Formats: sequence, C-alpha cells, structure tokens
Amino acid sequence: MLNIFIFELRYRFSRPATYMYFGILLLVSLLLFASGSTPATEKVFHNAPITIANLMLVVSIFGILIASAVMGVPMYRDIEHKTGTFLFSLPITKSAYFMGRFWGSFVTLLFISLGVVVGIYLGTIIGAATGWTPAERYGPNLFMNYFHPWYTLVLPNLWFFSTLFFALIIFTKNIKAIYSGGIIVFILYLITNFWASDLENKELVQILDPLGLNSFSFQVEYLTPFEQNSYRVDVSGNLLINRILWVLVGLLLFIASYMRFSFKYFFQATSKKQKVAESDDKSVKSLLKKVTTSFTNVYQRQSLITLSKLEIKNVLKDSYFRAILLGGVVFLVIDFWIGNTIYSVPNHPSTSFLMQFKGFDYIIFVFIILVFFGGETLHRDKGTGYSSISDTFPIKDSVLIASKFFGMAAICFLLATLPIVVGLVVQTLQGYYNYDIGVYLVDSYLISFPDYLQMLMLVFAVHLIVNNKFAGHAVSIGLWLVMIVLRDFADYNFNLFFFSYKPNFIWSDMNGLGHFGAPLLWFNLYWTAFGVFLILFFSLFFARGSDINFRKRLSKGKSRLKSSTALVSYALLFMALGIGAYIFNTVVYTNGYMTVNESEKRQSDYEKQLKQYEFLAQPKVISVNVNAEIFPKKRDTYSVVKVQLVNKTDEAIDSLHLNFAEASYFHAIYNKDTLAYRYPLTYEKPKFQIFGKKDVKPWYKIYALPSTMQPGDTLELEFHSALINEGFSNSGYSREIVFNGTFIGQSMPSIGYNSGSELTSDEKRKKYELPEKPDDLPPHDDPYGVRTMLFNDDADLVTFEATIGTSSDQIAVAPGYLQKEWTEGDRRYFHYVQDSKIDLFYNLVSADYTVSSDKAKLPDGSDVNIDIFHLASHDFNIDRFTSAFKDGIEYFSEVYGPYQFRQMRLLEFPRYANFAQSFPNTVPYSEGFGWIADFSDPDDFDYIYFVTAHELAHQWWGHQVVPNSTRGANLISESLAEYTALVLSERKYGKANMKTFLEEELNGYLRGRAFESKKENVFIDCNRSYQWYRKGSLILYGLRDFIGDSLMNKAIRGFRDEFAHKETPPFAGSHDLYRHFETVTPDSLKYYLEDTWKKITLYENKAENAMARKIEEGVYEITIKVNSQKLYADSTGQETPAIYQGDYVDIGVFAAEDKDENGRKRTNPLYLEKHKLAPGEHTITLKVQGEPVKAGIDPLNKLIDRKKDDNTVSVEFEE
Amino acid sequence: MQLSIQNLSKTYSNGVKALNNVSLTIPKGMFGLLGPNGAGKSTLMRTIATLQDADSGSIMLDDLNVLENPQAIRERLGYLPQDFGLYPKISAEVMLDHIAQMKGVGNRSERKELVSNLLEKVNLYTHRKKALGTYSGGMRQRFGIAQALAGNPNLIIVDEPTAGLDPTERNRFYNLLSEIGENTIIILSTHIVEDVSTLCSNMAIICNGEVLMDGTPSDGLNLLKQNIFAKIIRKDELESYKENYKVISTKLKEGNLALRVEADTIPGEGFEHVEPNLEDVYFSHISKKVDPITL
Repeated sequence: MLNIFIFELRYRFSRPATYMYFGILLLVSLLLFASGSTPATEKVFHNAPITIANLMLVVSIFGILIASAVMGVPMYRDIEHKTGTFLFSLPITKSAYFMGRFWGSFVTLLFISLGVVVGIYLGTIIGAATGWTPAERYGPNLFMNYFHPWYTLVLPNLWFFSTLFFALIIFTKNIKAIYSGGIIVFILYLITNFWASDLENKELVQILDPLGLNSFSFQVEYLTPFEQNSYRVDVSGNLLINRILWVLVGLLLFIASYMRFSFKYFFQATSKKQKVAESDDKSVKSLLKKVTTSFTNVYQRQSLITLSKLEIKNVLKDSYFRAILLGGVVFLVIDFWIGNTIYSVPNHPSTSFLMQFKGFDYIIFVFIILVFFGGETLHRDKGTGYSSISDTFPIKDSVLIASKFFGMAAICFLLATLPIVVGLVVQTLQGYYNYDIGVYLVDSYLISFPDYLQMLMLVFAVHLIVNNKFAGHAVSIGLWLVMIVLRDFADYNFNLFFFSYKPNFIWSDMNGLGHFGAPLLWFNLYWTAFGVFLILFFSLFFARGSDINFRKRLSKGKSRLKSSTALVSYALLFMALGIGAYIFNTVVYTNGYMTVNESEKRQSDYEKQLKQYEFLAQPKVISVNVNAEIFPKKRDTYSVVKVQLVNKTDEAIDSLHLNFAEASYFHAIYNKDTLAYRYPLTYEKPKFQIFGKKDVKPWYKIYALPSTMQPGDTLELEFHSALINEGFSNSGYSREIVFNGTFIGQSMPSIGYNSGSELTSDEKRKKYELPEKPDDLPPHDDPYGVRTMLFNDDADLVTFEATIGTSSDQIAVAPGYLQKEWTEGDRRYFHYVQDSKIDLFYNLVSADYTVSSDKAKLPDGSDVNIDIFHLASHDFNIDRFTSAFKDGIEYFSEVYGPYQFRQMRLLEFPRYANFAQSFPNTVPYSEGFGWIADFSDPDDFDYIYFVTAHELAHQWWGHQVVPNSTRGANLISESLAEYTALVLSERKYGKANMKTFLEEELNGYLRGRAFESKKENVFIDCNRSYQWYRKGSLILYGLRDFIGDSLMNKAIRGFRDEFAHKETPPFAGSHDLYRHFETVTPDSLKYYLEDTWKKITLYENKAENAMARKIEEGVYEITIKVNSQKLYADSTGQETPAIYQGDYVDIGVFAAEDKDENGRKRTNPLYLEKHKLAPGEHTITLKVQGEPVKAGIDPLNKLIDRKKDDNTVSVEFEE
Repeated sequence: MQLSIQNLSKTYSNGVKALNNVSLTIPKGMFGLLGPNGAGKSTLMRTIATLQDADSGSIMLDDLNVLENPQAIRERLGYLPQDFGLYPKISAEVMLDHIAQMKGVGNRSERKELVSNLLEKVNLYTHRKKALGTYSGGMRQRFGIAQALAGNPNLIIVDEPTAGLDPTERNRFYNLLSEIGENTIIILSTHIVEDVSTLCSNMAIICNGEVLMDGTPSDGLNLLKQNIFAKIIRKDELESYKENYKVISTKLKEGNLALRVEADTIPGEGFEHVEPNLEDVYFSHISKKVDPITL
C-alpha cells in the first residue's frame, strides 16, 4: 500500500496540473487579500480570523471542481488506459491499491488547498508592504488563525468531496458522473442558501449545507468588529453538528466504495451482452437502386435544417443536459412558488415579479448549459469520431458551423421558454389568473433570449479559435470570471466594455418595462451585432478534416480574410461600432458617465473646495409656491418655484449659495432678471470623455444678491429649473420621472453646502487626504444644530402651495388640499394649497391612478379624508392601508395629540425603489412593498398595516415634532414612529403576532452592529438605521413592558406638547425625549433606561432545564434552572460582564400553543412575571395551573440577547 | 473514368514521411490497396477523401483536381474511414437518413426507401431503431459500410472495411461490393490478402509510403511464377536460412516452420517449387522494405 501511495504522490507531484491548481488558489487569495477586496468592514482586519475562515470556505466551492479533477481521475486513469487488466497479474491487494490511490490523491488535494493559506498570508504581507492597502487594515498574522479554519472547515469539505467523487467513480465507472456529482453538491448548497434567506428555517439550513457556508455565516453573523478581529470561529452547536454530519457522510461513502471495489468488478470490460447471431438473414437479392441526388443551394439549405435538428436532438437526448436542465427547472419552480418574502409573507405570483426571479438561480443553470454544451456541440463530431465521415460530406463549412449554432440557438429558445411554462403553471396552481402574456413574451424573447444567444456567441467564438474542448471551456469560464472580478472587486462598470452586459432593468406593474426598454434594445443590438461578428470572423479559422493544427488554421483564416463571410463580419463589426458610438455618446456625454473612483474624487473635491461655506449665514425659506409641468411620456419636468426668503441670522447676507445636482439646469430670477452667478468648483475632466470635454454643468452657484439682506430682511425669488431625461445612463437606472408613476422629491435648488454629500468611509477619506469623520452630526447641545431642522436646513416651517400640470390621463398630487382641477388641451392641472405651516419637505407625484377613499373621525368629531391612490389591478390589500390610516389617526390623536390635517393620502409608485416616505399628509409607498402580498396565513405579520402606521406616525414624529440637526435626533422621527406603529399593530393583531417582527428587529440590530464600519454609538447618540429603527423599537417596546402604557403615553404626549408645531429654535433633540421618559420612569427601573439609551447593553440569558411534577389534577410544580448575565459593550463591540445587584427579567411557563377565534396562533402563558435576578445561576420553583410545555428566562425576547433560541427549554416531567 | 495520382508526397509535422512520391492510376472497378500497418494507406485514402492536404503532387478524377476542388469530389464520394464514431444517442435509421440527406438524396420517400434498403443489405434492419451507442463493433462497422454506399457515390473509398467482421459478414460485404454499379471506382485498403484476391481487378502494394507494385493480381502472380520454393524446417534453423536465402514468409506448422523463399532457380537442400499465391506476391514486395518474419 505504501508503494502505491508513494507512487501516486510521486506521479501527482510530477504533474504540472497539481502546481497549477495550487498556483491559481494562491494567486486568487493573494490578490484578494493584497488588494483589500475582502468582505471585512472598515474596522475589521482583512486578515481577521473570521475573514480568513470566510474566504477559505468560499474558495472550497471551487474546491469542488479541483476535487473532482484530483479525486475522480486516479482510478479512472486505470480504466481509461486499460492498465487495470495488468493489475490482476501483479501481487497487489485490493486494499493496497484502493488505499494507496485514495490517500495519495487526498494528500495531493490537501497540498493544493494549502495554496489558499499561503496566498492569504503572502497577500497580507504584500498588501501592507506595497501600500496597496493601508497597513493598519491588517492585524497580527497568527498561525492558528489560518490553521484552525483549515482543519475545522476546509478539511471536512475536502474529505466529503473526495469520498464522494471516489465513490462516484467506483460505482459508475463513468467519468461523466463526476460532473453530475459536482453539480449535485452545488445544488444542495444553493438549496440551503435559498432556505437561509428566511429566518424561520435557520436550524435545518445550518445542518444540511454540505459546504458549511450557511452554518458558518449563522455562527458568526452577530460578531462585532472587535470579536471578528479577536476570536476564531466557535465550532460548536449547529456548525459542529454540520461538520460531523458531512464527515460521517464522507466516511460512509468511503466505506461503501471500499466494499464495492474489487479489481474484477472494476476493470471488467463494460461489454453489454451482445445480441447473439443477428438473425433473420433475409437473403437480399435486390440490387441497390439508383437514387437521385442534387447538390444545389436547396441542398445546402435543406442540410442546414436537418443538421440543426440533429444537433438539437443530440443535446436534448444527452442525459447530462437533462440533469442540469432538471436542476434549473426545480429552482424555477421553487423560486416562482415562493419568490421574495417580506417578513415571511409571500406575494401573489404577478408575472412581472416572476420574471425577475429567473435571475436568482435559473440563470446559473442556463450559463452552465450554454458554456458546456456550446463547446460540446462544436466538438461533438471530432470527439465522437464522426467527423472522419461527416467532413467528407459536400456541405459548406458555413452550413456546418451555422447548423451547430442554430441547434444551440434552439436550445436557448427552449431555455427562454421554460420560465413561461413554469410561470403559467405556478400562477394557475396558486389561483392567480391575471397572466400578463405581454410581460412573459417581452421578458423571455426580447430580453432573456438575446442574452442567452450572446452568451452562446462568445462561447462559440472562443471554441472556434481555441479548438480544444477543455481549453475552450476553461477560456470561456475564465472570460466570465475576469468580467465578474473586474466588476465586483475592481469597481469597473462601464457596460459597453463587458460582453453581453446591459443596464439593469426592473419590471413594474405600474410602468411595464418603461424607460428600461430603450437601453435594453440598444445594448442588445450592440452585443448581438458584435457577437455575430465574433462568430463569423472566427469561423474563418475553422478547418475540417484530419491533420489540422493551429498554423494551418491560421493560414486558412488568412486566405479567407476577403471572403464574403469575412465581409459580412466586418459589416457587423462596423454596425456594432456604430451602435456602440451612439451608446457611448448618450452614456458618457449626454448622461455624464463617471467611474466609481471619479465620483469619489469629485465628492472629495466638493468637500475640499466648498466646506468653508458650511456654516455661512444664509437666508431661510418661509414660503413656497411651486408651478411644475410634468411630461410623463417625455420624462421631463419644468418647474418655476416662487419663494420668499428671510434673513433669520444676525449678520448681513450678500450672497446666496444654491445647489441642485440632479437638475438639467437651474436659475434664480429676481424681478424678471436672471441673476448672475459664480461656479466655484473645479473638477478634472472625466476620463471617458475622450472625444473632447463636455460643457460643465454648474450645479453649485454662488449668487450676489441684488441687495444685501440685513437681519430680518425678506426677498422674493423665482427658481426656474428642469429635470430632463435624454437617452440613458450606464446603469440605466433613473426612477423619478417615468411614463407612469412619477415621484419627484426635489424640484427646487437647495441652499448652501450640504455635509451629507461628503465621503463617509474613513478609508476613502484617508485616500483623498481628508480628516476622519467619526460622526455625521454635531453633539446634542451644538448651538447651530439645535436651531436647525434635520430634514431640511433651508427652512424652518413654511407656507406651501403647488400647481402641477401633467398628461390628461394622470392624476398629479402634492401636499396640500386640492383647490381646483382643470384641463387645458391635452394637459390636466391640479392646484393644491396647504393652509397650515409645514416643514420644507414636499413631493410631486403623477400617475394613472384609481382612488379608494374612506374617512376617519377625530376625537373632536371632525372628519379626515383618506385616499389611497393605486394601480387599478393592485386592489388586494387596500383595506389594510385604509384601516392603518383610520385606526392610527384615531388612536394617535387620542393619546399623542390631535392629527394636524384634514386629509391623509397614500400613493403607489413603481418598485424601482422599495420604501415609503412620509411627506405632510402625503405618503408615496412603493409598489414592491405589499400591494400584491398574499396574507392568506392568519399568522402572517401584517407589514402593510405596520409600515402604513409607521408612515402615518411620522405626521406626529417628524412633522408635528421636527427633530433638530444634532446627533441622535433622528430617533425622534424613526424610533417613535416605529414604536407607535408597533403599538398600533399590537392593538389590532395581539402580542403573539408581533413575534416575527420583533425577531427581525433583533436580528437587524445585531447584524447591523456586526457590519458597523466605524463605531457603534449609544442609542441616545444614534447615527445608523440599525439603531434608530431596530434597536429603537426593541428598547421602547421593552420600556413599555416595564413602565406600562399610561406612563409611556404620558411621557410621549408631554414631549409632543412641548415641541409640536414649534416655529422657533431650539428644536427637539434626543435628550429632550429622554428627559420626558426619565421623568416618568420609577427609580427602580432607571437602570434599564440608562442601559438602553446611554450604554450598549446585551444579556446572556439561558434556560438550562425545567423539571415539572404533577401535584394534583391540573396543578404542576415546576423547577426552572436559568442563567443570567448582563454585558456592556464598547463602541468596537468588545464586551465586559456588568457588575450589578440584579435586573428584572421575565420568567415564563407556557402551555401548548393553540389557535384563537381568528385562526391565529396563540401562546398561552401559565406564568409570566419579572424576577429580579443577580448575575449567575438561579433555580426557580413555581406552581402553575395547567400542563406546562415550555419554560424559560426572558422567553419573549424583550431584552437584547445574541442567543435568543436558548432562552426556553421544553419541560421534562418527573414521576 | 479514372483516378490518377501523380507524385503525391506528405510528411507529418512529427517528421513521419507518410507518402513518398506516390503515383497510381486507378481505373473503374475494384482496386485493392495492400500494405502493412503504417504503410501510408490511410493517409493516401484520407487525402483522396479530401480530409487532408498533400505537400505536393496531384490527384485527378478525370479532369477534376481533387485537391483544389474538394467540394466537387465530396458530391461523388462514399467513404468509410478506418476509425470513426457516430452519435451515440441517435438511432441507426435516423442517422442513416440524415447521412443520405447529406449525400444529396433530397426526396424524402426515396431516402426512406434507400435507408431501409441499405440497412437490410448490411443486416441491421432489425436493429434500426436502436441508438448507435448500443451497437457492437461489428454492427458499427456494418453501419459504416451502409453509410459509405448511401447516395450515388461513384468514388468509393473503404479503409479496412472488413476489420471486426466475422466470416459470414465478410462474405455479405463482398457480395454487396460486387453489386455496385459498373461505372464506379472502389478503392479498398486492407492488409488481408484474401480481400484483394477475392474482389479486386487491380491492386497496388505500398509500404513506407512508396508504391512497390501496381497492376492486376495476375500480373503479380505471373512475375513470381517460377520463383517460389517451400520447405519445412526446425525453428532453430531459421537464422541460418535467413542468412542464405531471401525468406519471404514463415508459417508455423505442427511445431515446425513452413518456410517460403524467393529465388531464381531451385535452391536444393530439400526446397520444392510451389505455385505462388497473392500472399507471396505481397510478402515478396514488402520484404524488400521491412522484415516480415516475426517469431
């Protein structure tokens, strides 16, 4: 055995392939780590133990490929070279042969895997030494940081792959089985990946993922930057079970193959029993008849058809094609069936949503099929040996190549058609009959089909020039890898240079394909012309017959450079160049394309050149009158905004700074005169403007005022501006003005320097020599911040009115009450007036709407009109929107203070962005967030109700009380809105229904802080969305649990009354709200308020066990053993155990869950009380009425706990 | 109609000289190309079949230059290569129908008839629905023969056609070839002398890329009429015989060797004069180039 083992090793180490694999792994990891392209956030070292482990695991996906080559080949080599038969005669035992081959190959594989380790190590050294990546981004290189993930994560994977591939070879004796094996592993991984996207499937996913990647992600997902830098991954729990499971599966495979293997079995010629004596010897007397033959053009055409058909047949009958296709279809069904869920709630299967899901997994299978079978098709005749017959047929070379292409093109067509079939079936089975055939046809045949064809064209071109099947596969995959790496890691994104890449597009039920159609069409023309050129041109180098080598093909090609095929290919190249020129012009010149680096550089220039004006005294707007003309079909808007400005400062002001980056142009007009301005910015010319520099668009203007404004002076100005869309941009994205569903957030210039446009990443700031920026906003007592409003520093409160014109089939909406509506020609006009003062935060919306109306009643008896503006067919959930408004207006008015408007409106806009935004009495709400949600399960979390309530709550938190511009002030707007919406939802759906939501919030908070790239602020200074949404709702909901509804409401009402509709500074900050909570919180609970607002606090609560004993019928005594510990974390996430007397923590005992009268899940607490628990272990004995099922500590996860699943245990019974 | 090959030479990139100034004139009828393995037969046939180019020389089919006008030759060609494969997933019937179409049989019903006719002739009719991947070696070879005859070829090139056929099938094949119309050139390469003696009106022997003999089989036999002598010897005597005589072949016979030598007059020492057969012609020629005697 040792001999064979050594022989195998020696053989392997004499093969260049071994070093090539090693080298590729080394190079890839070296480049990633040296260039700093790891997933580590800015406060995490690139070589942090977790980052290293993560990369090693990701690379093991490619390990599947390498393992299949290394492990599959050794045994097969003996079959293929027929050396097997000699082995009978040699004195080798079965076990020596088997073990020698296996372990020899396995050790080789382990050696290859070390390429990653060496690569990462060298990458960190080189990256730091060359300054490619700042040296401080690398931490200490500890041996164990590399070794530990290698043997705990990589080694089990390699073991599993190795045994799998070895077993496949032994059981099937067919090298092709290896491909399918690899694909199966990959599919398993994709499936677990798919399930992982839903929180509810956590457990199973972690155990079943054969790569352990999902299990790993779950294990490390909440680790803070400090922990990622300091600790190695904890291989325990599900990750440990996962690793053991797959090692055992591997062992099983290993043993099974060993049992199955014998020389006799393995090397026996695979001769199927041949039919004995081909019987019925019809004595054939007839002579061969003469037949008519013809070789005209009709013959060539006919041959093209039959050859193509035969090619289709060849592919369709291939069992590997069928297997891969089946995989693709399985994923189509799963993805179409479940789609995207939001809070675990699915959508109705709307066609435009389904088409988008093709891009999840199906596309991967399409890619595999096209790459492999594209090459397979071209090499089929050579590979099978049929070419020695077929090459003598009198068909033209062009017919031969064309037939191969058309055969595969038909396969592309099939691949493009399958999603239609699956989609229709899924829609029908789910009882959704609103089939959108137009969307199906356009998406499948005008978008996907050309895309697949282009992929195929490149594959063909590669194989025509490379002319070796395996090298061809490698080159085609390599080309795509290079493109993906350049785009994803190197920030290159100029679509025109990336074969078959096009601007992204999003289907919308409201707007169809909308403005994405044009760029898609142009890019498809461009890539198709280019692709056909590639095929035609490289087909010149095609040669048939035997004795063909590269030189021969080259000379053959040269001799054909003037053939008609060549001429057509040149024509197509020119066509591609012509279309490319048009695209280049519209992307680079008309739409001002800039590289990622250039945009960053400009951000830094902006800060360097204009930061001096940040606190310059500027007037504030006090009244706004908008006159806007929206042209939806042309996607243009022209605005004239009359404003009144006043100098609220105590300095004289003689210049006005205006900026409006999105506008095509803007002017300030005083008394009918356009004011003169200066453009203070100088930028470098964009690199892509190689055909001359485009005129600079001055977007920041410094105007000399007609006369100096003394303190208190007012000034009336008109701002003229236009938003004009011409052609398309590189990304193709643009969402504001669209054919149907316009939503414009800004139609007038903004005043002064805006620090929000500065670079935020400290690493990038350093690169451009800017100081670090730890916080965006000043401290809570900053005098400038306190007198400035958060959402718009151009004004305090203003009077507002708007007149909007749009096309005659659309309704235009702005904040305010509709005064008049009229038509002029083919234009429709709306005049809105807001009769009370609002903050300067308005929007313009226009679409072809259906309006559903209702009314809410205020406590004083007055009515509030509720209007839902929506797409006619999106009527599934209108009542959820309406009831949230109704319930909210009534309840919030009662407890927090009266609603300030006489109307509330919600408007659907296309799902080009997924958010809702609350303007005064006006809420645009994205199409993608619930309009077609399917709430058939009564336990679903009604996120429409919640989000609508949240936006409504902003009418109080944001509009009645406007936060100031200091650190943490945004929690007034977002945390209060989140909390009050949660309270409203709980009133409607009950406590138990909030569970999914609260779990998502906790998950969101813990993940948010794990990805923190600077420092985690305490809540009162919150500066991130994971803090003001996620943590905010958790800790306010928690506080309510401690102090009760009435004290909560008292505090919030008091806060609201102090600041509502306040027109003069100081405006509200986070400390003001805290003050009100502090007043109502009893001393015994102040620790909680401080822990949550002024510290970063986490709990490690855990239930060890719960033993119950039946005392009498229906009465049980239960003993629960729990552990509790509070921890404080610093801003990097480093935790220290807190020292404290005891905190209040829930102890709960639950009976079995059942359903309530609405069919919702109901939890049935037998006992739920707060206990004051000191740190450490506690044993608590209770008597309960009813049979206990579960028990534990903080069972409803009211406290922030990183391992919430261990808080409860199942109750055990003792006799 | 005749095929004339003039001064054809071919050297492969690995230095092997496969054809060395080959000139042959091949008339209508069956033409046998005899030669040991590696003689250059297949290279010659592939070159005629337009699968590869020669370095120099020409091939003319009447007025038609084969090397310059491959397309025209392909329209008249039927070719059975020595090594070939087929699409494993396609049935024999579909494949042959397809090939017939490739060979210009455009009419569907005519093609259908032709296909079943051919399959019957090669005794594959009962297996016509089976995928070619399931065929045994012999069946595949027979399919190869069928496809070479599809269409209206009047230049048929069959490279080692009888390889892998059992005696019955070989006979069937002989019959089939003999049925082929008058106005056709059939070139058949083989190293089995019997194939040539049974079928061919003309023949050539090539070895190491050179033509050693060219003519009718009887021409060959006549040349050796007086010159072949045979004797039975012990195996260990061979070396000395090889030194003294021009030994052209040996055969094992009951533990001893049946020796055949070529000489102008009877050598004595127990040699007897025998009537030459085609095998003697073959060995006589190639023994000038290679040592055919292996023990």
